[in-house]
Amino acid sequence: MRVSTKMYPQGLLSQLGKLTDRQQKLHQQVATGVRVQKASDDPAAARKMMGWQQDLSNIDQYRKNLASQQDLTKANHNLVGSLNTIMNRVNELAFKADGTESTETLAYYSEEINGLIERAADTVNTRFNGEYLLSGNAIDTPPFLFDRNEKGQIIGASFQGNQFVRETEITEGRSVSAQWVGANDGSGEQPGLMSDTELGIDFFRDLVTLRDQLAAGNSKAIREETLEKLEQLEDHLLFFTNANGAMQTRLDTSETLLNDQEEALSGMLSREGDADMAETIVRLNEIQYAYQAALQSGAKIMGSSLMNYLR
Amino acid sequence: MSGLFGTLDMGNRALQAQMKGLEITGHNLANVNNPGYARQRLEVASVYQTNPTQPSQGSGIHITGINQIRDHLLDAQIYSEKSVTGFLQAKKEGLDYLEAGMGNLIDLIGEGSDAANGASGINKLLGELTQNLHEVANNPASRSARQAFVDSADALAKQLQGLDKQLNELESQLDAQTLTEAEEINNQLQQLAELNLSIQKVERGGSQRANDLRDQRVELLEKLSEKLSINVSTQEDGRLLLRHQATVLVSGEDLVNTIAFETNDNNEITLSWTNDANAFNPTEGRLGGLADLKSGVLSDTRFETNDLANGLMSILNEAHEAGFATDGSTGRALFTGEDAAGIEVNTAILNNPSLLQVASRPDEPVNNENISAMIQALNTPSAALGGRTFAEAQIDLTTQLGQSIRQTERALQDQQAVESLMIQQRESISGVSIDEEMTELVKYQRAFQASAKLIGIIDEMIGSVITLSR
Repeated sequence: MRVSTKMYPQGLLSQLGKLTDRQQKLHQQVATGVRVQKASDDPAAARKMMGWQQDLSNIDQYRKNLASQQDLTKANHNLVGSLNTIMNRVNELAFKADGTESTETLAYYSEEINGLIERAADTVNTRFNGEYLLSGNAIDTPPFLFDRNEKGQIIGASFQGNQFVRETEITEGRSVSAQWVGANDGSGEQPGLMSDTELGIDFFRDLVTLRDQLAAGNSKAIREETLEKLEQLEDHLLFFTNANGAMQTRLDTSETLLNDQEEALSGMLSREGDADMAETIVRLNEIQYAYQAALQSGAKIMGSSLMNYLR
Repeated sequence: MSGLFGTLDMGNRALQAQMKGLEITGHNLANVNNPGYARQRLEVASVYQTNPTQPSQGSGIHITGINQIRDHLLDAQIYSEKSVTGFLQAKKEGLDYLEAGMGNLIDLIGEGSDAANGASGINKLLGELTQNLHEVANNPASRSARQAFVDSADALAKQLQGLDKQLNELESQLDAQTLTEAEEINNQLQQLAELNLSIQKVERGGSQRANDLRDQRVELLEKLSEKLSINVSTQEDGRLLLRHQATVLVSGEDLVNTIAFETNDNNEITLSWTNDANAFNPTEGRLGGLADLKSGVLSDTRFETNDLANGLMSILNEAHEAGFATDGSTGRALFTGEDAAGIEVNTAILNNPSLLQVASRPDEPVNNENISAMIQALNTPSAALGGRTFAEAQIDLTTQLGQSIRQTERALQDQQAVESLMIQQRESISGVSIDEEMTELVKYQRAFQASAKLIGIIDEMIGSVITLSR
C-alpha cells in the first residue's frame, strides 16, 4: 500500500488521541476509587448497584425502627418487673392470712396491701420517652383513672386508653409492635395487661378485694376465692414477661439478619462498583509506556525522508 | 523525416513538457499538507508523424493533460460514512447534556446512608423521602419529623420539575442547532452552485480540467455530507447532480432547492424544501441525529418523567387521603398539579405540617397507620408505573438513558474507526508523498537536461549547415 507523507502524522495523532482518552478514564478510576460513576459507564452494573443502594438504605431504616422497638421491650421489662415484685409481696401476705393471724395483724397487712396498690397505680401510669406506656395510641392520656372512697383509698380503676398499638416496619413487609395495652374490654386484639374481660383478669379489682377482705379479717374468703384469683394474676404476668422475652429474641434475631444482609450487600456493591486498584494502576502504566513509545517512534519516522539524502 | 528544425521543435516541446512536469511536482509539494488536495500528474503522449510515403516516425512528446489521482467511488463512500458519523456525533452530544442534567451519579465513598442513597439525583431524594416517612411513623406526634418529611417531599417535587426544565432546555437547544445547521447547509449549497459554474467555465471546450476547483468541490461536498445525506452523480452533459433522496438540490450551476423552516406557535420547527412538495425528514447526518434525538430519547424521557411524577402523586395521594391530620381534618391531597412540570406539595400542608394526614382515625395523636400505609404503597408495584415500584421506575429511567449513551458511544467509536480507515485509503491513493515527489523532481530535471543537450547539439548542427556554403 502506498504511504503518503500525511499518513504518518495523521495516524500518530489518532493513536495518541485514543491513548490519552483511555489514560484519562483510568486516571479517573484511580482518583475516585470507583469504576462506575455514571449509568453510562456500565448500565447493567449501574442498575444493580442502584437497586442495592436502595436496599441498604432500607436496611438502615429498619435498624433504626428495630432499635426503638428494642428500647420499648426494655421499658416493658422494667414495668412487668415492678409488677412482679408487687405481686410477690401480695402473695406472701395473702398466704400469711391463713386464719392463724389475729385481726390486728390482718389490718396491718391490709395497710400494706393498700400501699402496694398505690405503687401499682403509679407503675401502670409510667411514661417512656414522654409517652404513656399502656394507653395504646392515646399517648397523652394516662391509662388508668382511679376511683377513691372517702378515706382516699382506691376502690376501682377505669381504663382511658385505647386498644390500638403502633407498629413499625423492621423488615420488608413485616411490622411489629412491642407495645402493650393496659386493658382490653373485649373490643381489641391485644390482651390487656391489667384487665382483660375475655380472660377474666382484673388486677386492681382483685387487689382491692384482698385489701378489703384483710381489713374485715375475712381469711376464709381469702383462702377459698382470692388465692386462686391471685394465682391467675401471677400466671397472667408471667405470660406477659415471656411474651416480652420472646419479642426481644425476635428483634435480636432480626437485627442479626439485617446485619448479615447489610454485609452481603455492601460486599456486592463494592465488588461491582469499586475499581480494582492494582489492576487499574497496572493498566495505567501500560498505557503510559505505549504513549511514550508512540511518541518516540513517530518522531523518528517523521524525521527521515529522501530530502536528507539528495544533495 | 522531420529535419533539423523539426527535431529542434521536438526538443523545444520536450523542454516545455519537462518544465510543466516540474511545475506540477512543485504544486504537489506545496500542497503536501492540504487535506483536500489530490496529487496531480502530467499526462503526456508521444507524437507520430504520418506521411503516406514514409515509414511512420515518432516526433517527440506532447502534453495531453494534467490529471488528478482520485478514486471517485471512495469519495462517494466517504460521503455516506461522514453522514453516519455526523448523525452519531450530534446524538451523543445531546445525550451527554441530558445525562449531566439527570445528575444521577453513584457515590461509593460516602458514609452510611449518604453512600446508600447515591450522590445526587432522584435516587438520593427518594431515599431521604422514605427515611423521613419512617421517622414520622416512629414519632407521629413530632412536629419536626413531619416537617422533615414535607420538606423532603418538596425537594423531590422540585427535582422532578428541574428535570422537566432540563428536557425543555435540551429541546430548545436542539431546535436552535437544527436552524443553524439548516442555514449553513443553504450557504453551502449556494457555494456549490457557484463552484459548479466556475468549473464549467474553465472546462468549456474540453481542453483542460479544473483540478483545484474540483478539489474544493469535494471538500465542500464532504462538509455537506456531515450534515445531510447526499447523493452525488454526474449528468450526461458532465454537470454535477446533487440529490437528497428524491429531491434535487443542485443541478450544475442551478440551485434548485434549499431548506425552508417555519416555527409554529408551540415553538415547534418544521423543515421543508423551497421547491419540492416532498416532505423533508432527515434520517442521517447531523440534522438526522438532532431529529432522532428529539423524537426518540428526548420524547421517551419526557414521557417517563411525567409517568414518574404522575405515578408518585397517584400512589402517595391515594394512601394519604384515607388519613386524618392532627386536628382531625381530612380530604387534602399531599401533592397537587400534573406531570413533572406541575408537581408540587400541597401548599397548605407545606406551610403547616400538622395537616399531614398520618393517622387512620381522628383523635389519636400517635396513630401512624396511614403513614405506614404510605410506606407500603411506595414499596408496592403500582399499575400507574407499569407494575413497578417508584424506586424501580426511576432506576429504569436512569439506566435506560445510560444504555442509550453507551450504545451511541460504541457506535460512534466504531464508525470513527471505519471513517478513518476510508480516509487513510484515500490518502494512500491521492496523498502526496514527499519522497515520491523528490524522485519526480530528479526525473524531470534530468529529462530537462537531456532535452537541453539535444537542442544544443541540433543548434551546433544547424550552425554547421549554415556555414556549409560561403
